[in-house]
Amino acid sequence: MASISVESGLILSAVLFGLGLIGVLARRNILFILLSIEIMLNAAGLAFVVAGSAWQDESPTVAASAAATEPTTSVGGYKESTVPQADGQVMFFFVLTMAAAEVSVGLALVLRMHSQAGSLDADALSRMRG
Amino acid sequence: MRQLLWLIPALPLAGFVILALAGRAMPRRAVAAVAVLALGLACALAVGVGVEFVAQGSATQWTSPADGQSPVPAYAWRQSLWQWVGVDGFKSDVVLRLDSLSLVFVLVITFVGAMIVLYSTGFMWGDDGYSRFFAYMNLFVAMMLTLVLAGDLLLLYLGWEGVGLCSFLLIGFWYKDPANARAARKAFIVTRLGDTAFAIGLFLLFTRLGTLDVQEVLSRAAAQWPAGSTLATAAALLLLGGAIGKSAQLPLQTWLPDAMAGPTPVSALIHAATMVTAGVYLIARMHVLYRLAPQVQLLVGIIGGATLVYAGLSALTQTDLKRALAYSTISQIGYMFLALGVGAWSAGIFHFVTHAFFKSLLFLAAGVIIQRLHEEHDIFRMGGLLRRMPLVFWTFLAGAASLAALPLVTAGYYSKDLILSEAWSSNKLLWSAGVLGAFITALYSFRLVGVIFFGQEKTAPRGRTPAVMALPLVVLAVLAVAAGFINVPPLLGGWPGLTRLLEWTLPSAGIHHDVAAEIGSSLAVALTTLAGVAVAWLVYVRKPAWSEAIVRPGLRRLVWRWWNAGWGFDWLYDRLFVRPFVGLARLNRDDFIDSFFDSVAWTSRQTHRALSLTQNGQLRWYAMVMALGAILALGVAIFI
Amino acid sequence: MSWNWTMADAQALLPLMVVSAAAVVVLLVLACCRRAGVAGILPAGETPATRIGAVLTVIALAAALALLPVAGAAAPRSVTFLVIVDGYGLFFAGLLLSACIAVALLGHSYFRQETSAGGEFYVLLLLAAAGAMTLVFSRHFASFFLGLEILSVSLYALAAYNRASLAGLEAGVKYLVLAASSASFLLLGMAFVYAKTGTMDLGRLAQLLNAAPQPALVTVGLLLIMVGVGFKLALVPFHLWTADVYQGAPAAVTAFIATVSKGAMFALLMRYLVGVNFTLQYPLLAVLTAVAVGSMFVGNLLALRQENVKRLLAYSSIAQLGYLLVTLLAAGPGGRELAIRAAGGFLAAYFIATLGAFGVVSLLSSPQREAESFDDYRGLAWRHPVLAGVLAAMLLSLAGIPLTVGFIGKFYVLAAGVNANLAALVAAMVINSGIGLYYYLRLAIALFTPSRAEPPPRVAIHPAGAAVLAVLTVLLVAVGVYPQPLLRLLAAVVAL
Repeated sequence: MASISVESGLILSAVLFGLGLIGVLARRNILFILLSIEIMLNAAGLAFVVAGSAWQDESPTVAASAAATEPTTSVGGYKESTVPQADGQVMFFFVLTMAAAEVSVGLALVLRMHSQAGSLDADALSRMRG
Repeated sequence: MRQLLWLIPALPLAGFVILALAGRAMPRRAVAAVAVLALGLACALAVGVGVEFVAQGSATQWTSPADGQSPVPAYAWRQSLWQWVGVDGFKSDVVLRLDSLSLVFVLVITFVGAMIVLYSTGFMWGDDGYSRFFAYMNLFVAMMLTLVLAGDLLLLYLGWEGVGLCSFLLIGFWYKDPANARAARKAFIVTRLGDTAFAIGLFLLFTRLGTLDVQEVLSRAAAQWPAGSTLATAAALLLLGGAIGKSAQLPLQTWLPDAMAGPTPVSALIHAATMVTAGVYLIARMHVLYRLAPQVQLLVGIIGGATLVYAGLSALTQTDLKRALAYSTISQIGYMFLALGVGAWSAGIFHFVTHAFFKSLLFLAAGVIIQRLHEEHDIFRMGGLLRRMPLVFWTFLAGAASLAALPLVTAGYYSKDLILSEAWSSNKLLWSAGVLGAFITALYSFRLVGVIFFGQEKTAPRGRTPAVMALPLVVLAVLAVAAGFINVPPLLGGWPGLTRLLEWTLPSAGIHHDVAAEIGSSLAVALTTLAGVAVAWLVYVRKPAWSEAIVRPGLRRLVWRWWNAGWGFDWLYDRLFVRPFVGLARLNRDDFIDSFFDSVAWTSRQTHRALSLTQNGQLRWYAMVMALGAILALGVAIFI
Repeated sequence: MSWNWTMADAQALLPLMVVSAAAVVVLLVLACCRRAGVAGILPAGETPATRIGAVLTVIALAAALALLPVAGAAAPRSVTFLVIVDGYGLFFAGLLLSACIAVALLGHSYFRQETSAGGEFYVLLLLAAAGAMTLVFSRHFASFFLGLEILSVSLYALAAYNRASLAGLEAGVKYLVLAASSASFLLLGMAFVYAKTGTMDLGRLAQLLNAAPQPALVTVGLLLIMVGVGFKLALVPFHLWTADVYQGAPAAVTAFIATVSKGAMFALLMRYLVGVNFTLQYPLLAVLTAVAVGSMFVGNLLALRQENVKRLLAYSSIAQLGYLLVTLLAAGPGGRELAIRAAGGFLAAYFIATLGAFGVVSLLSSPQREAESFDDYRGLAWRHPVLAGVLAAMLLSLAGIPLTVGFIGKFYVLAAGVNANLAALVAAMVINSGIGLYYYLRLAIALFTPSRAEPPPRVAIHPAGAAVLAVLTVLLVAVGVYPQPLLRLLAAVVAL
């Protein structure tokens, strides 16, 4: 596990993200655009996992130092915790869920596009301008 | 009662809102009821508030400093309603201020307003814009009350512009005739010249004194500015600019005769009784400034004196009844300015009160005459109406007598006499102008009476005067005669109640009572007035041929025509300002300064066109710009 | 993690729970209605589902609004490490809920004749409202992201709601693709920030920003987050979608996107950025300043000669958000209070005027025909004098004419800018107010000029929509003349 550094993980996710972005910009078929967006989202998810794995074994130094210098901003029942966190991984699940929701709406629109516009070309949808 | 002060302007405003929103759907009777009720209630409330105010004021034994020094901490009620804006360094409150000066104005405005609106319910009955008319009238009264009750100069300015707007809307009420619309525009633009000066004056006051609260401005000005200082002079001059525009004094008087294009009740309320006296109110309100700038105060008097003679001579030569009354209004406001200029503060306000009664009466009577004579405005085509319209005759006579200041029996006499007797002790030249004016006034008012009601009948009147129109005539006629008794000089064994009341706020004229001079002045005024009446009677009733002789071809006729045209001011301004301006504008169409603005507009349009190209509807282009934006931002962040 | 659920937590979350539950309830009720077929009980011409959905939605939103003071009794309170309920959040939640009620009523008027519309509009609206409220209350990346996505995904469907309309489809697809891309920018940025700082707590991040200049990775992450935020707020250069989506979406939905969606996002942004010492974060300051000035100029210049009213209002909203950014930059460490007051006032004014303007558009439109070209509005004063008056008032307020609420908002923003010596921004704002006047008045004048073309047919005005407009107009003038209640409320909010 420790063989992959955080930096390389982040660079990998940035590259993936760039590939997805290029896909969005270059592809004309709406299905491929949606696919490319999935890639971008997953790249971000990967970055979260990488960051999460970096922080899961230790209590966050920066956060801890900030907490040490300033009084904990605990209002209500919540107490700041210093136990190892799994926040990055949790965020990845959020990303997955949200990507699924996005795609379901996206596919519904693709169906309408197919029946109404008769094409899946994103450039065909440029009636409104100016 | 004191807590209800805000209701006085709020009631007409509510009337306006109701009529503006629902007026079209309401039957005419309901419209009339709302309009009259709103003003009637406001008037009743004003009386109630006034009684309590005077009672409390007398109980506190309020007396103004006898030496005539500015009584800045005057007896006044303040009602702070809310703060409009307030950031550090600048705040503007919506605050009402009732002192004896604004009380007098409030009473006159609500009472005369209610009377005129009552009259209008009959006068405008057949008009298509019935509810629109009353909505505007209510809005006007609300704005006028805001103006006089404002405790903050910004709020006062709101009222000032509000009445200007209503005046514009009502002059052009019958907007389908382009001439009426032109008259409305003229009034708006000419008064705008004055308003601009007023606004600059407000900026000056705020930057120098750091406040716009009336009370604060006056006390800080008195404390910080020595008498005769440049700043005080400048501020007083700028405010005077606003006042002469609104009050149609020389040289901004040209709009008022044309403003007669509006319905006659409008002329009565706005262009005679109330709005045009706002300038007088403003100067009286800011009296401390004028006392700090004696030259400007003298200028006020000079403007008044010149205007009253100028407009009197013009009134003498008019053949259109309403235009004659309009010039007469200018002339009478000239008297008020003269009074302010010589320091006869309360006398000027007294004249405002009596003038509001008799001039609105004259206009209302003129409205009846014109309406019943099939929209005939030319007095020489009237004649002989004495027997056909006795009620109108007697009320008109009361108004004309009061206007002419017939000694002892009319209200106009007491106010004019007070002004002139105080002018006598301060400035003989202005006094002579006033006496000359008194002669002219008597001459032209009885010229109107003689020509309209005596001699041969030339146009047959139709119909009858409805009761709702007759009642205000009678009430105002009584007041035009009797209102003077609220302020009878001690010399005649009376008690000057109004003057005492006003001196709670305004400086007293001082102790220079030279009884002999006062009697002399009064006698001179009385005699010139009687002479004027006699001459008018002789020329226009006994020997009508003489009146034609006056205008025989020749120099006299030229002069007559010149006066008739308002001394050619319109002609002069047209040649002096309008045409050169239009010519310059035409010449300058492609000039340097213009090209700058053109280039701004052109650049904007071109940028618009270029930017519109970015909105090409292409989804992928949009995504591209977004990505480029992100990259650019990152680039800035990393390399900066 | 030690966490005990208490009654106070439930109390604080009550408004949010009501709205979320309402979305589920309305969905179920609609499904039952359709199956049981209660037609016949309700008047013909309107499908029962629509009517029931509308009524339930308005009741739920009003109930949530009424529960805000109850929640306020427990405020300020952090509920888990995701959500914080405090006076600031409650104020904006109130603003958003009120706007949602207006949109629901406008939508009801808009869909009146549409028998096939169903009631899903209201389900989506409630979901979007829940998302927006989550944003306002959020204090953590996770709740930020969740709220944003609940809001966005509902809006994709809402934008494309008119099934027959090709423009609606186009709007939906564009919004989906661009919003999803911008969301992935935001996510990547969050991951970067997390990777470097180890915290996803927004309050903590704000503290870090105030403490010292941050390493490049954090700045890059924050800027990537700003891409997502800027997209939602339609700031230059992430603004290109605005006009197309505004034009294609049903007018009521457009009103929602222009107000609720932007307002919620701005509330979140301001909560954590206001008071940040930007002198330490120079790159952020530079970018935000450029974005603000760019938004003002680009928005106003795009609107200049626009002939489509919905697009014109879209461009105008870009510029308005540019003005709003000034408050953010003006705050500085000491100016938090004035800035929040200014921004709150400006946003309230913007909400009133924008909802009113789109409300008029919406009342004149129907699913079959959007009233969007200038020709639909020329001579409106003769066909619908009251509507024309209302629209003119809204435009004057957007232009910032005194005695309207828009003047108050703009005045406070300018005052905040002048106080902070932001000469360039203030100058840009003044110049742009001038440009803005041109096109606002151009439309306002068009309302009163006789139309050259064949006038569009007179449409019947639905009472629900008319009521909304009446309330908005009264507010516009009343707050413009008597702003003190609003200002007092804002002062109380800042103090809480």
